[in-house]
Amino acid sequence: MSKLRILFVTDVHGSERCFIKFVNAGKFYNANALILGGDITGKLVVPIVEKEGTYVCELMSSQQVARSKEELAKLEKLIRDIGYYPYHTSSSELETLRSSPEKLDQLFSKLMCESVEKWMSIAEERLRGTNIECYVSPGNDDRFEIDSIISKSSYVKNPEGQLVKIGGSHEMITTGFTNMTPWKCPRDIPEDELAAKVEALTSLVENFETCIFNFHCPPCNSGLDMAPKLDENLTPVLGPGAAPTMIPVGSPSVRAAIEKFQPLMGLHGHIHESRGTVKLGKTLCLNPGSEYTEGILRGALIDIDGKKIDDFLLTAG
Amino acid sequence: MYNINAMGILFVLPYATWGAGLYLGVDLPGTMLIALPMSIPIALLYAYLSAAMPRTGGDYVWVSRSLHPAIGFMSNFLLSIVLIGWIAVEPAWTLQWGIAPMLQGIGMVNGDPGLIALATQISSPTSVQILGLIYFVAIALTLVRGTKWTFRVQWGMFILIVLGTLAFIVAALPGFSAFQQRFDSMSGTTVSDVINNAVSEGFVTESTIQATFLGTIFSFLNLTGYFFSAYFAGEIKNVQKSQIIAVVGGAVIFSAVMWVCYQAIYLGMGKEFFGAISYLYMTGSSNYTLPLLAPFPMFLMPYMTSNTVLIFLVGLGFAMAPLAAGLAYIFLITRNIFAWSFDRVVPTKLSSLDRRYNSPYVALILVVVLSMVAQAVWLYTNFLSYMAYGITALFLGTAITGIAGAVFPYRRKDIFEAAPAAARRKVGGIPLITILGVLTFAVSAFVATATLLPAYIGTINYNYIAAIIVTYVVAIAIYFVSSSYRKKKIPLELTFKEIPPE
Repeated sequence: MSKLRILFVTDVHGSERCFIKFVNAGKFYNANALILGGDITGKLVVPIVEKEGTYVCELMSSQQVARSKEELAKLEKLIRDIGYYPYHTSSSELETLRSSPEKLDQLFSKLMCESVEKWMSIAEERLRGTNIECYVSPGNDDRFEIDSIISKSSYVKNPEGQLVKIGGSHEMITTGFTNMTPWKCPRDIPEDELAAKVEALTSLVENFETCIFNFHCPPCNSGLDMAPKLDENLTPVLGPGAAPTMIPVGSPSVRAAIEKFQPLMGLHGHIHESRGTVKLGKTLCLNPGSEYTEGILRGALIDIDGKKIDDFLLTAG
Repeated sequence: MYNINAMGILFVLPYATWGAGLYLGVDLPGTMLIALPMSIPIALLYAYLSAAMPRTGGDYVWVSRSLHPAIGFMSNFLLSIVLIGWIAVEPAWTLQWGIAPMLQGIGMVNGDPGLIALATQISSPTSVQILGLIYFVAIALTLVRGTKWTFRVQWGMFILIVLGTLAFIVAALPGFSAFQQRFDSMSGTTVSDVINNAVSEGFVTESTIQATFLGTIFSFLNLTGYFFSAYFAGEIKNVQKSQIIAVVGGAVIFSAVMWVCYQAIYLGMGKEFFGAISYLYMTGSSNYTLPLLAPFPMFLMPYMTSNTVLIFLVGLGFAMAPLAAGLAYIFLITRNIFAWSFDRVVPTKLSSLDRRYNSPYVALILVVVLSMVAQAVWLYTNFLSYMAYGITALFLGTAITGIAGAVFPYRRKDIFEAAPAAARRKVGGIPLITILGVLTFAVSAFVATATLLPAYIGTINYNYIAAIIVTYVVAIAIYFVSSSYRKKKIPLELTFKEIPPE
């Protein structure tokens, strides 16, 4: 069984800068395989309205004005890098969109799919001929439309709900579904359904000693799943000193599966602020966290030598 | 509150004596008018860097990303070592400068020699060590229960410290005449004799701008800690807003309180008397005849008031101040170690989290054990005197952060451009953060140099300077040993190296 270097990243949430870094990271880190573990799409459309030769938009609570085509290109890039989708529109169309949540939702879906298609093309173009494997799977925040776009890629593999072999040797099972969150995201499911999905996946595995669990949801109460406690308005409950009260929000089913089968490694994300590593029995579980709004690609670089993890490093590239 | 506890409100009392005794002609309240503007660029730089890179570890993260991880580790390592040295002294300050003057003061007012004798007994090294051990265990038990519990305890201490501060101000209200009457009848000397003796030995009663400017150093040093919340920015919600309030607001509020305390000292004891008694004490004059360990204002309380409740509250408040500061320091150091461990500069075991409370318990145990060892070393050897220039080291650290801040928009354009708008602001086309970095460097270099001047610490001791250099060398050695060990595996340098974004 040969040596493998894997880069695992997660939760880029539409940040084009982070995705391009992810694709470039293969050569940069000398990795054999790149894994993007879910929550790849953005959360917002940013309308850019042309007004008397200038282009105006609201971005992160402040008004941005581009006064030339060059400035406009820069502004659009900034919007994509942060993880949003720029959209050129007129004042009248903007009013229509604001008054019609359905139309806005359709527009969001369209822009999101176009962005994922573009990303797949970038990955194909840059990775073809490199022998670097690339796996991109959806997470709980991602709509179902993107699955087929990733699966259609001629280079990138979508491992969702499947068993794949990384480097031809290490089995990996993947799910981007998570237990319920307060936001009721597209792939939030009740814990018992998640348990069933995990069980179905583990039944495919032949050798747990070298297997990787690529489960977007971290194991419950592992230190990789500490998120701010929210009140009924979804506002973080702050404790003394403005520190949010943190509670474990991971999945008991994921934890139970890891403890029962003791795979080589668990790759997790979902909770951006819970970057870290933890050993659950023999299994090394990692959550590289996410800093996508700052354009930083947080990752976990892991060297595997057969049945053992030779080394790992949490990166901020 | 955390930053204010880290600064220690009532530390202003001994700092006042040191400042007044060392810088002849200093106007203590005036020093605050200089110290506050000096602190603002550093406060803003730390707040903006923490908003741009809201991660646990503070300057370790910023310097690592903007300059080099080895420099980031070196600077942050020295800060942590200096703070451990300071923690070692905190229980002694509590007993010798908080509880002891409280007992002595109440004893003097009530004519109770038993209390006065008890004050001497509890100041012994054994008492200090016993309190230290209890304190460190209590800190470990508090911190292991996580941030929430830590801040609850901090709030409790903060309230007692504020009560002590208010009690001191109230005790000063009767004014100089009342003080003079009590002092002349109780001290075995008189206010006039103290002033005349000091003047005959070279003390000057007139304030000068030059002395006030130099004396600013102590007021500025008392402000040390106003940016410590930046070291756990990763654990704070709405970091941009919170840090501006905590760091800049902390500096402003603390400066205002210090100004009021200085005014209270002058109101309650008279500027000339306080300067004179401080001068006699600091110069080791034989004319310093008071039966007090030092003429720190909390020791002078029985001459200001006969109210034992006020004396008790000031003593209790001062006793709490070092304990609260120590708790804040240990909290900060565990976060630094956590950040180093995350990046595998030190063993990953040190970032292990307690399952129940999510606290870095291994790092905590290490810091508490090191603090206990440091306390024993301080009590029974002279070794910790090698960290006498710790404050110099601390400002060398802020100077390095200043350089990192100045180059940050250019060396890490990617992070700068994605930072919140406030941190990206430009003045005359130059990033504000660059300007703040340059100012921080200038202020820090000035303070670091001033702490080496004879007026601050006496003759320069090159062994003490060597101790700082050795600590830097040790840090660099740890980094490069770790780095070369990992070269065969995944190189450590990859931790912060930016992946091409195009």
